[in-house]
Amino acid sequence: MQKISTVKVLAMLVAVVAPLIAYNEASAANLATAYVKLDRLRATTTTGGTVCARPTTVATEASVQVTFPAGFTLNTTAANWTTTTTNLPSGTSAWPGIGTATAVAGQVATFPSTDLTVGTTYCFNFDGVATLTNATAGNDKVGTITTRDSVPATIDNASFALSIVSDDQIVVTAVVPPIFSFALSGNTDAFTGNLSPSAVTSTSGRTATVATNANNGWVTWVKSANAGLNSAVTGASIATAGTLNDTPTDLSGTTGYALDVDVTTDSATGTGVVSQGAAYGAEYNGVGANSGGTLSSTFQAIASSTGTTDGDVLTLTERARVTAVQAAANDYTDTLTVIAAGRF
Amino acid sequence: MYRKIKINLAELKKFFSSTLFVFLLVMPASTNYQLKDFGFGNGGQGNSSSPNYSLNAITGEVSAGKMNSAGFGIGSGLVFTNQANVPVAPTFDNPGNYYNKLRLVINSSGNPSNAKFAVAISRDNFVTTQYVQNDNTIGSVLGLEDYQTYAGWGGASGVLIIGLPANTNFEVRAKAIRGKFTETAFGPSAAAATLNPTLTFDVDVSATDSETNPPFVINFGNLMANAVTDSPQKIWIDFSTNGESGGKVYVMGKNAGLKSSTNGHTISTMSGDLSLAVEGFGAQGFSVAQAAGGPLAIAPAYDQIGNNVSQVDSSAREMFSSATPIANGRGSFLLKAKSSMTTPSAEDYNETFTVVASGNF
Repeated sequence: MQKISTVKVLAMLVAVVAPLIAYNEASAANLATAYVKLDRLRATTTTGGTVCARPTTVATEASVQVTFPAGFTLNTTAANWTTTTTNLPSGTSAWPGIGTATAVAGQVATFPSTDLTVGTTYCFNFDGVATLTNATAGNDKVGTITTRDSVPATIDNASFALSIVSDDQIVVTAVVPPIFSFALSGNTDAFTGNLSPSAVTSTSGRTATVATNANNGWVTWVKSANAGLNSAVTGASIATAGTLNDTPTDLSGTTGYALDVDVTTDSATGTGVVSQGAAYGAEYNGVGANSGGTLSSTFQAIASSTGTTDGDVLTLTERARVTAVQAAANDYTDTLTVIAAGRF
Repeated sequence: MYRKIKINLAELKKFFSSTLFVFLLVMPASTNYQLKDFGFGNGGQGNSSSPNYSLNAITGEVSAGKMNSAGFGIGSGLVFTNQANVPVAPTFDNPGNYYNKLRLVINSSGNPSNAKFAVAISRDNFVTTQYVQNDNTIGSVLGLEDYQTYAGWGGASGVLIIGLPANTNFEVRAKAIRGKFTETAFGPSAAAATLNPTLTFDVDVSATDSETNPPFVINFGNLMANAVTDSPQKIWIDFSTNGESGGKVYVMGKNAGLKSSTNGHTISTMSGDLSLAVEGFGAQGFSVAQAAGGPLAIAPAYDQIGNNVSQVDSSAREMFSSATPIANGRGSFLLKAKSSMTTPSAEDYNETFTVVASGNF
């Protein structure tokens, strides 16, 4: 029979009883979740990122260390490593107590932390200016996230992997081609009645519609073939009234022939605003039914727009009042040429 | 190697009488077991038990009745006869390229179904030993609750021992027990290793599924007014990870749309039906596939059809995800754009997408 000493028996009994004693050896555990999402994955490119972790061990955290994989370059100015907790991944919480890094050395950046709750996933962002520079391209670049107490001793840790690529960006290009359309509502426009010395008579009017995606809008011009209404039968002419001075002529106080241009529609679609400014249609911006601008045998701007439109509409109306001695004829006529162009 | 210890009754009595350790001395029997081949020699015998433990002291047996070698042991005597079968080496492997867990399949080794097993685990050939807990983590203490039946250890499917450090070799071995005085020594061990976390990612731009190299450019060409135009190429990603919770692929757009520097206009990114919009720009998931694991899924916002798109702006927006480890994931998405009659003409509309991925470990 093999004899054993009392001490040995005691040791045996302690070994037997030991499991009854409720204690757990303190040791580092794995973070339940751990990942680092970089803002850029392009090789040797500066980047910021987001660090997330979910603790598993009940303890009071005082700091978190992120050990970036070998090959990454860390700016050792800790003050550069500022943090935010905005735009975090859904389902995560702002990392409590997070702030600017307290130390950066080698591959390790140390950030402050306060107590974390087991089971909650916490995240924070670190700035991308003068902090981290990616390694060369490659997969499976392994780093670690470690939570620590105030000693500092490790509470939880976990490894993560990153993939760095030669390029993580796609440049998308497109062309929006020029668009321009112009249309007249008709090519004849008769006076609504006989021309009279006692009143201003007008045509029914014709519209010009302009649509364009020209970024700077459009301009419309008019020129008159005769600068007046001519009668081939009599050889007589009703000359255009006034002069080109950006001021319409009121035919109620004089005689002659004029063109009135009204902005009928300034489309709300598009960026353009139609106007009749100086040298761009002020001459033809008549008021009421009696005024209009002087016609010219050279193109004169009658209106313009500052931007895009899906259909601005101008109405062109000819007006005339004759003297009592104006030769009678029924063939007084003029031909207006209306053009427009986009300002791309 | 197994060793049977005979206790000198005189010393045992001296111990019990000279220490404060209190044991209730009882006869060698319990509610569950009866010693059938039992006899008293000159020295007598004595047992001791508490609610949780019993001490079986046997006298009169030969002490030389054992043989052992490095791998096997044989013993004689009543206690040895009562023991359960020593479990042979468990099946211990890493079937999923895990970085934080390993699969353990107990070999019941002929023990009945109500036999329980405890599992020791070590990373240094049992210089330091830990034990697999009943929650499948590892700990330094082997509690009664950590003894589980073959079924409790997952039966033939086994269990995953979790919470392991990455890139580490482990050995496990099991012992069995079936009632008082039947616990065996640990059997032979089996070894397996965790891997490092992995993440593979790549970007391609192509009309069809093919690998391409940077620089990556997608040129829409002319965007005809009031028509929805698809990008002539798609953006493809490769994504593999052994991350416990898979991972995600994110997309960001620098300009939040197609921006012209010459006219300052942006065809803004949008979410919705481009057919109904005056103008807009967005992305639409196109395809997902994987060789194993996953599955890779298109994020709901981008899982659209027709001319429905979702926005891409300066925020990192999830395009693809996998909730579990995934191998050879492949996904693609396309871009759609629409201009209007009043979209200012320009030849320099552009956007820069950044595509990134992260594993969720």
